[in-house]
Amino acid sequence: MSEAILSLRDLDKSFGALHVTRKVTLDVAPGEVHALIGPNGAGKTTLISQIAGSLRPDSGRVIFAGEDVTHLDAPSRAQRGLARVFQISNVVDSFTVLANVVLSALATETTAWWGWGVAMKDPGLRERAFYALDQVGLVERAPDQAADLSYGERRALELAMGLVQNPRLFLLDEPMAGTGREESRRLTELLRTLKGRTPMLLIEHDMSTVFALADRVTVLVDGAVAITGAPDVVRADRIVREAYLGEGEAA
Amino acid sequence: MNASLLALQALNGLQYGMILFLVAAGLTLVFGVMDFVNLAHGVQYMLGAYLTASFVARFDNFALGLAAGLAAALALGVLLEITVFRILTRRSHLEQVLGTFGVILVVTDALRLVYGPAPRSLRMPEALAGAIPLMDGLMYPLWRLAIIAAGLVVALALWLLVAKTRVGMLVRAGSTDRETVSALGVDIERLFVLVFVFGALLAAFAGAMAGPLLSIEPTMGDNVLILAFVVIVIGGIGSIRGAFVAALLIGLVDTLGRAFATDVLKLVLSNATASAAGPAIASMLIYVLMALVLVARPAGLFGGNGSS
Amino acid sequence: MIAAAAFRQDEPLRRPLRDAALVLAALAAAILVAWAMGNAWWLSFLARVAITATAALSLSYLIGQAGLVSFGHAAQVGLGAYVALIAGEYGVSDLTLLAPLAFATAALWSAITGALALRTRGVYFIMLTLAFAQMAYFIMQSLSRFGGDDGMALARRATLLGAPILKTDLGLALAALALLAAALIGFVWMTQTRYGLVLRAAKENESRALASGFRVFRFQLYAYALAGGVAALAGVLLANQAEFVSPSYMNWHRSGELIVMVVLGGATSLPGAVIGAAVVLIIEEALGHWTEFWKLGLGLVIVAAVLLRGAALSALLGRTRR
Repeated sequence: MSEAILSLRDLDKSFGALHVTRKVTLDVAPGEVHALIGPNGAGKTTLISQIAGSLRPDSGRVIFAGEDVTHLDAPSRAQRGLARVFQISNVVDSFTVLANVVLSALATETTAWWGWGVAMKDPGLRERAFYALDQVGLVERAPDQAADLSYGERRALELAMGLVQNPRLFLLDEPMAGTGREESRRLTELLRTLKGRTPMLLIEHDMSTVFALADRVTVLVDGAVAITGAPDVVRADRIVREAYLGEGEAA
Repeated sequence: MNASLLALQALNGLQYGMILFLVAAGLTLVFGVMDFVNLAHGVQYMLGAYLTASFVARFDNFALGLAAGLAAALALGVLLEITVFRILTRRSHLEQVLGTFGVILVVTDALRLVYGPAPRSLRMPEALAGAIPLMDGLMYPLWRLAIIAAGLVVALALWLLVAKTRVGMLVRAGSTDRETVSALGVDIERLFVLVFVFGALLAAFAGAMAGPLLSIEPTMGDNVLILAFVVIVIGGIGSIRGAFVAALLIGLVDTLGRAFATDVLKLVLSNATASAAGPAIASMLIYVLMALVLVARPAGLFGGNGSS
Repeated sequence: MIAAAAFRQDEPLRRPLRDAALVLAALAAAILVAWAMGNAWWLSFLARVAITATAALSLSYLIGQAGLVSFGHAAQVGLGAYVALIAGEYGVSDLTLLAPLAFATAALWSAITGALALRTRGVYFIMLTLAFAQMAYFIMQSLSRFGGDDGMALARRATLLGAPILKTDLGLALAALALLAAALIGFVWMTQTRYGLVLRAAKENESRALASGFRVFRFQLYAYALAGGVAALAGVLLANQAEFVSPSYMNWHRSGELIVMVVLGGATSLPGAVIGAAVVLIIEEALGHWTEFWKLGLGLVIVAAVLLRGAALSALLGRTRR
């Protein structure tokens, strides 16, 4: 059994009296798509923030690619191959699609500090950027301003920005949120093509996406892990049905 | 250096702090509630001093002159609010900085035009012009004690207002979440005007109270403004409590520093070096204090989302 | 939405470089005309324009590229001026020594104050830079050894490798122009480098820059120090032009004027800062001839410009750190 790419050990976090993360222990195996589901307010985004490094846990450990990164900041984790796709699309709106990806490409090249050349004309960066854009199907949109993209396209752009860094793990916070049915379908297809190559920890409300993509599912209820297992097992579990699926499937 | 000298300077520091608090309280609310970088707040202070001095001289009666001066200063403040500030509050910080900077230039030069560059004086009322013995060898001016008392009264009143009244609750809420308060049907525009007017009044009052102690001239607004900024940075934007604590702290550090820095330095350095370095170090002290506070708490002592 | 026109990703340098060339050519032409006509006052004024434009330019870079609204930039200029003064008192007056010394001093000042100020955001940052500049102002005011509040005359104008190039009005004007040209082209070029791309991204969307793996703090600190250093170089020339240095160079009103110049020219346009500087200085001179109370006029112009330009200003400004 190969070592997990991401391990959370007893992660715990409180905001005053609000205990948002309760001793969460979780593994993401290499190459797997691991879905994180749970009712609203279960603490999913807070958990993602602690994994990505923008939030510090009160206790517990985050182990990424064999290294304890609990005390490292977000940029450090990003540089080690942790790519985060935000719930509310987070790109540089005034930049073109290409520029956004080139920007991301710079980060892992460690040469963002020097080089007198015009960054956008650098052949190496452009090649890497176009390759990533091709993987997500955004090559034609390269010269367009990021602000002009649709929701789904922005998600794809963020994926490209992650891909260009050759990430070891994708953290996807509700990638389907805000997308229409057609876009959602396309995005799911895109994720499916990436499946197997890059492991993903995926928060989602959209059950069809979860069951279409996930190898394993973890259910988070009130900040604690209720169950982890194969999608069918989780779907059938009584606790989950009561706590979560009993609320009605999200559209 | 003896006990009475120390007590004297400490009291002076407290008094200075009170003036700063009066100016900073309004400013911190305006920053915190309205998200408005009002560089022209110092101008309000200056208007309070100038207009009170003018009316006191005219009426030869302090109480009357004070009332008239404050009313006039307030009127001008409201005029500025209606014509300029109201528009600026909707703009970016950069535009606010520019706009209020322009206002400073206009009002400062206008005062110079009307009153001339020579410093003016304001005589304190006879009843409070004397001094009382506080301890052995210390006769302390009544006017300064009056300022300290006034500051405490205002602090208490503000605390009651903000913590206990409905308006105060709205102010606190408005500083953390403008949209929600708006959505609740509260007229946020009116709330803003209220906050602004109140702050302007406090500043003008501070100017009038400080008038008898300083020379009233066109640069007095600048000096107090910078210090008010330091108070707010240290205390935390939007926090009245922070403004109070920080203002007193700065008043004390600055006054005691200026009074005793050279002497303290003389203990370790030569007289000549100490005399040269003393004033320089003294002027740096409050900024060093600000830096130290920020290292520990980047949002100020009581800062962070406009908490009171 | 930012007017992306200023930073077209396909031909990013063409327009700014063209604008820069135009602006520099205009200034050069003015200098030559003034010299040909033997007008010493104009030569001196144009030198002041070039010097001030360099300071405004460095601030424009800070505001427009890094999103850092510094209200203490005049202190950097003043630091440079004081380095020239103090070094001169100790016999050092060659530009080959003064320039690096001034640059390093300002960079050091920026590193220290920036390390603190950059931990804050929005209004706090603006006020902190203002407070730090005031601190510098008060320190220089209390150093009676170098003139204190009254200021002090410069021992002699600086030389370059021994040659007294700054001795004549023309020499000084050309030197100021040279500095401006180097700074303008340098900054414009930097906007399109890898560093420039990251800086601009961080200005607009800091969390994105962080999430992509950039330590934004360091990028901004570097910009802050660089801008300060360039401003200090302008300060050295300022000291030479006026042959006098006083703490008033660091006065926050001067910082405010610099911001006015930057915004007037369009906060995301580097060549625009040069135009802004020229316009403000011309207004000040013109008003000054007419009335003693020229600040009142300038203030009215500023307020009017801010109120009236409204939407256009916002579009040009882009987002600054809020």
